[in-house]
Order: sequence, then structure tokens, then C-alpha cells
Amino acid sequence: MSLLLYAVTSSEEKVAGAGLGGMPLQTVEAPPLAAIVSGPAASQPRREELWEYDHVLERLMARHVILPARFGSLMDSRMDVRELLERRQKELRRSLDRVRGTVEFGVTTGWRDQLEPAEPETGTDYLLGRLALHRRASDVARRLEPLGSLARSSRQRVLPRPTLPVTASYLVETDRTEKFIEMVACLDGLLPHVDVVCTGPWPPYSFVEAMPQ
Amino acid sequence: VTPQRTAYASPELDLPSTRHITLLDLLDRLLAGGVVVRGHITLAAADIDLVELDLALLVVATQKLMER
Repeated sequence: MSLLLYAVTSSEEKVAGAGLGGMPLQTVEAPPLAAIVSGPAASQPRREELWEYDHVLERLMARHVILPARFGSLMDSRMDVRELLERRQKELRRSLDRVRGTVEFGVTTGWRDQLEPAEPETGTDYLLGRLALHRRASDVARRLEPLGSLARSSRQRVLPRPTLPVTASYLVETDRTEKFIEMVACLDGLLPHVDVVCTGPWPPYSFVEAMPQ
Repeated sequence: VTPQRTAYASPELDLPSTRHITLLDLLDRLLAGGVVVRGHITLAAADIDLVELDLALLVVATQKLMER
């Protein structure tokens, strides 16, 4: 029977509760790790289940140290799950240690006044426009540095889209979350050209894989 | 159902824009983050990826246009 994977945790955690469609959560253990799974609620994950999935993970993160699985991770069998835990044990244990005692916050900045430059007349104009935009976005990224120093780990994307100068994820220790949000508000006040939105707390979605440093 | 996971938003941003950014952040994490089991992500989820992300981005862009 196929299984829906929600998260990876330590085999010492005692997990209970319901997953998608009320299916009971179970663990598949391969000490020192365990996977949190349930029977599939449907033959394929559906888009309505996105919110429900988020709620399941929210409940899990409140009680356990978890590495969330990407939505729609269907495994063929318990043996398959065990094989995954064994094959990637080293990497998964390292990630679990890294996220212990933390939550993730997302920070998105958007230009306050979206300046639509005049249609560039030449290729050079276009490139100069892009360069100027990139410089402004890099400046925003620099001004957000205090957030990085409050976090255990962080990842930034500069100008992922022309409308968004910087998007970033921060892994923040739970006793520092209030301070972190205060700092976001403070920086929002200090940055005249961007609006800032901070989302979370999320399970550590952006900090589960071995990332290049 | 709109996800309520906004920890802070610029006071000048309107509620719909804030909601859409939060939605985008959620989708970005659920569909592009997390432990990846290679080869096991279903096609249905991949469809959501493209459709919903584009939709959410479009809504944000439209919102910006309407604010002018």
C-alpha cells in the first residue's frame, strides 16, 4: 500500500493524530530516525489538500522536531520509507540537529513605488536599467543583514522577480522570534523604498536539504 | 481557505496584497521546499506548482496595477 510522507523526525518522538482526510498518522522507524506517514487519502494529492497539509504540519511542528516533506510525496511501501531513512541517515540527522529549537520565517520585500521605466530604446538602455534595478535590490539585501544575525541560518534571493527586490528565509530560535519580528518592523520603517512582509512561523521547509554554503 | 500566517506586514500594504504574499510563501514552501523524495512527487502536485504559482503572481501583479 502506498503511503503519504509528511515529515522526518527522530525515532524517539511519539507521534499521534490525524493526517489528510482524517487518516491516522503512523511512524515508520529506522532508528535513530522515523518518518511520519499516513495511508493516502486519495489516489493523488489534490490542490484542496494544500491547506490541510499545512495544518497537519503546523500541529506536528508544535510538538516535535520535524523536517517537513514536500507536498505530494507518495512512497510505495513502508520498506521504501525505511530505505530512504537509512540511505540518507547522515544528511537527515544533520538537518534535524540544525533545526532543533527553531522555526522558519519568510521575508518578502516589494518595491513601494513600482517605477516602470520607459520602454528601453536600445539594448544598452535595457541592460543599464537591469543593472540599476539589481543595484537597488542588492542595497535592500544589505540593509536586511540584521535579520541574518538574529537567525541561526538564512537564505536570500536577490531580485527573484523584477517586482521583488529580495525574498529570504530565516531559521530563528524559538526564544528569539519576538525579537526577530520586532527587527522586521524596525527595518520596514527604515527602508523607504520597499514594503516588507514577514510570514511564519513555518516548519523549516527551506532548511532541510544539504545546501551549498 | 486563506492561510493566516502573516507575522508582520507593512502598515501601508493592503490586506489582499499581504494575503497573496503569504499564500505565495506557503506555496513556495509546500511545493518547492521540504524533504524531496526524488521521483515520487506526483504529476498532480507538479500541475499545482505551475498553475497556482502563476495565478498567485498574477494576482499580486494585478493588485499593484490597480493601486496606481
